[in-house]
Amino acid sequence: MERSAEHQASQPELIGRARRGDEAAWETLVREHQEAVFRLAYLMLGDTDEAEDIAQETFIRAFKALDSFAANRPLRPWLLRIASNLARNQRRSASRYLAALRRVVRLSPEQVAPSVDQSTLHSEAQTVVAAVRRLSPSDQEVIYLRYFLELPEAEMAQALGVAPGTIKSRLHRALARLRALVDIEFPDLREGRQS
Amino acid sequence: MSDQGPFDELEERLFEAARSHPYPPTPDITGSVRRRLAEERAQSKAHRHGRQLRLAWTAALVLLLAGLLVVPDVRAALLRIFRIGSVEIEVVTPTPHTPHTPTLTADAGSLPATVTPPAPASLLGLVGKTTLAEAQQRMPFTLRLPSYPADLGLPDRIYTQHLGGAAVILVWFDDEQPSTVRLALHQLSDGTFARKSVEIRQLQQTTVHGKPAVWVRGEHILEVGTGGRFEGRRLVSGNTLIWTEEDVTYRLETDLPLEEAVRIAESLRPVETQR
Repeated sequence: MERSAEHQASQPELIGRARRGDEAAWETLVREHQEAVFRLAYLMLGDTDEAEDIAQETFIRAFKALDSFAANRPLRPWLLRIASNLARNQRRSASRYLAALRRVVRLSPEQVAPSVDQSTLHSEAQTVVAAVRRLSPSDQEVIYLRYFLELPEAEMAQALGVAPGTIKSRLHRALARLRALVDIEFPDLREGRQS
Repeated sequence: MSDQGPFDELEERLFEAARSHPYPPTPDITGSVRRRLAEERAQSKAHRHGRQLRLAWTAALVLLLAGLLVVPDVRAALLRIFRIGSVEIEVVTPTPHTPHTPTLTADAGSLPATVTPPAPASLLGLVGKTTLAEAQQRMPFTLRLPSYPADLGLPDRIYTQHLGGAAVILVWFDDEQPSTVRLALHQLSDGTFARKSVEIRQLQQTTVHGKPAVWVRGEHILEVGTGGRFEGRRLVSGNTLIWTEEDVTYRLETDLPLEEAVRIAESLRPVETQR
């Protein structure tokens, strides 16, 4: 009964209660947004454990900073912004860099190439992901938010902390770079598409 | 995927890729978030209480020690341990032979050597060398830099280490003698463990921003460790000012006199880094 009441409460109401220290209200919001936060961290880091850590840290930091958040604004872009900053810092950290070197093959395009029993669609999708991972972190980020998490442009702007008008041009540039990369480094993908 | 291909086609393929992307199952983190929040609340409460107690205790002990200084017999026999922030100070009886030349005794790689010239080679090989921005990202507190003296500028070397808690060590070289350390500022988070063995005549009570601080004059032994075990030991030959602000313990090693050291300590400002 309690849980159902939590689910029926509006986001501003839940945020208001969480601000007053109601952790059950915050947990409802965590449950609602954890998938998007976890997936963005996973896409950016390529590691399940690290993504879980980042997701956890995101909700801890957001809870502590709730007083600075306008309850009538959408929560998801704000959470994704925190997660993306944390993931970016994590990606730059020296310890992670060394760990990544030790298991670099896990992130290489070859490793995400399709196995023999996967469908053509699945394998092609993985190669597209591998190509995206070769882009710069900021290009990756804009692509993940738009196509993988399917955020509308207004929410993307909030998540990236940029003006709404900037999103279109950032997407355009990221796609252009992805296209060029596919042409040069993933010719199979290009040919597969044309056949 | 031709050069002239419409962006729609590439976008469609990205949507397809996203839909069939094999994400790992999303873990339910509500439980871990709840636990973390509860832990942090408990820690914060205990820490606030502990800090108040530590400050009061430190102030009382420093006063007691200062008073005992005037009694020679007591002074000679005195053996006391007290803490200021993350630094434990062990007051030892005077040793008959005090070395005059700073020498590293063990674990030269764990901390930079003393402030006084010349900077030993161990400093150059110190682990955890990093940049200011990286150090800030790794520290659970806001790094602060002296704004005095005006010509000091940014530190020449920055090291981060884990000594039970997060620690950052900032080192400035002497502009005229680059092989010489001008100043070393340690910023230690809660959980860091360091112990100084000093003679009582070396101790002096002072204040930084009106709060109790300790000034240790001259050579003394510094030990650092994790989990209650000492892992590194070295001789500090410069003077050291130790104080706490918020949750951070500061150690300033310098050859400067007390008044200058306090002035530097009181000039600390948050670092502005590109994030």
